[in-house]
Amino acid sequence: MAGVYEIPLADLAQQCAEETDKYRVRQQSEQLFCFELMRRALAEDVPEAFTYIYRIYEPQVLTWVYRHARFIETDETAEYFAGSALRSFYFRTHGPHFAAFPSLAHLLAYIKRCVHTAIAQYLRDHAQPASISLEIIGDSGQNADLDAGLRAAEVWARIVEVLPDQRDQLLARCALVLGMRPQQTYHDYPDQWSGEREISVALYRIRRTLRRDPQLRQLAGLGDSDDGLIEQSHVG
Amino acid sequence: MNCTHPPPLSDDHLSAALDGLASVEIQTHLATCLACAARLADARKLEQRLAHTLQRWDCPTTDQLGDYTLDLISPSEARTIASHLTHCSACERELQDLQALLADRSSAAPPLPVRRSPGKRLYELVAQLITPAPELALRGDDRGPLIAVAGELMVICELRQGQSGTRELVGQLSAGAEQPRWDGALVELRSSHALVATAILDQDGGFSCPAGPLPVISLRITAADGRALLVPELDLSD
Repeated sequence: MAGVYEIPLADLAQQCAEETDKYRVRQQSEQLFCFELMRRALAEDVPEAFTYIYRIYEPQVLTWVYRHARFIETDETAEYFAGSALRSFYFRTHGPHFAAFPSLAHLLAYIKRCVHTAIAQYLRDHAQPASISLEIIGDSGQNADLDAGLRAAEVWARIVEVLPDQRDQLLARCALVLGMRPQQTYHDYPDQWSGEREISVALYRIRRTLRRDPQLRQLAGLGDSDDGLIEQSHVG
Repeated sequence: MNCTHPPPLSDDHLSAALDGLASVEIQTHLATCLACAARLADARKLEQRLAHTLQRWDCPTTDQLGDYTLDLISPSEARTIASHLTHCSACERELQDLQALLADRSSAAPPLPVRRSPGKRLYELVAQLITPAPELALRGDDRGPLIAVAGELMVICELRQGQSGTRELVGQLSAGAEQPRWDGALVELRSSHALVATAILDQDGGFSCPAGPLPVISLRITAADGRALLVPELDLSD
């Protein structure tokens, strides 16, 4: 083991690349060189070593992006997620963090975790709740500021107050917190409702209730609704 | 304001309109009745704000879920996440996706899917190159340093000859009051998407790294919090 510390960086990278190629074609491979390269890149923070890590592992990381179950749901390139994963991997494993990774297998599992996180975070960032039209994209900066000022816990506490039934709370959570459509809600909670139709009907009722709650409207930065006009309506 | 074509649309009609499921009759009503159209706009605004505020508000972050899966978090945090997973199908699905990827030992990539053009990327600022003032030109050279600006961020680069005769890119990121955020940021130089070199930003925002032989490179500087500055095309031709 002492010898591997003395191998010049370029030679070490060459050895790691060769062993990685063997690993890819399922031949027996030696992990020592790659782990030492990782150690120099991350524990010792040698940028040249990280450049080699990037070059050696980027093709493998791209493969993991393509194999991720939800990559297909994104509009981004595999290269984007591979880069994002490798950057995240660097920031979360370098310096003192490196001590938490006792083997190459642990480090490679962490890169996979970073691939997943990059894709999952992208999907969270780009999720449009089911009841929201695309017009939200053009919403004004003023609204965005108001949105940012809203406190989610307070808003949710009010929703729980006006929807005392636990199934209604679950449905509100599915629609507003998770952005799920009735079909997905029924898929995930088939024991709670008889079908999508029942969910849709319940959601309409929930939306009526939330829309008419003055306190919730206030929390959302809106004034009083035109209750008189709503009362005139014949249906709903 | 009163409905001009009574009776006014019901809340359920408005919900149907918000979902894109309104009948032609409702759509016609909304197109000709200012009062009901205003109620629709109000309902839309409320739902947008609620959804925006509440989106995944009580879910663990993707990083927390990832570290939970790899057993890299404290027992108390793990208990909290385990409890959350019992009632959150979205987090449960994310967890299953990661577990499937971790268990996947195949080294072959599946056929490449058709990709759409990516839209605007969050957290990524694209810098514009600006022409430097003549007095900034290097001595003995008719070119000044390369300067790129994005909002409050400015990066200044110049090419130098390294000790072994190789080209080296030396740069400085200036971020004003935000400078500490960029301490330790990761610098990547790429040429035609292939990585040329990486470097780490020092606490003064400086960096240097091999520039490679190619005339045009892209520069990306990523802070630890994920924010990034991108300079798409740096002309390093001699």
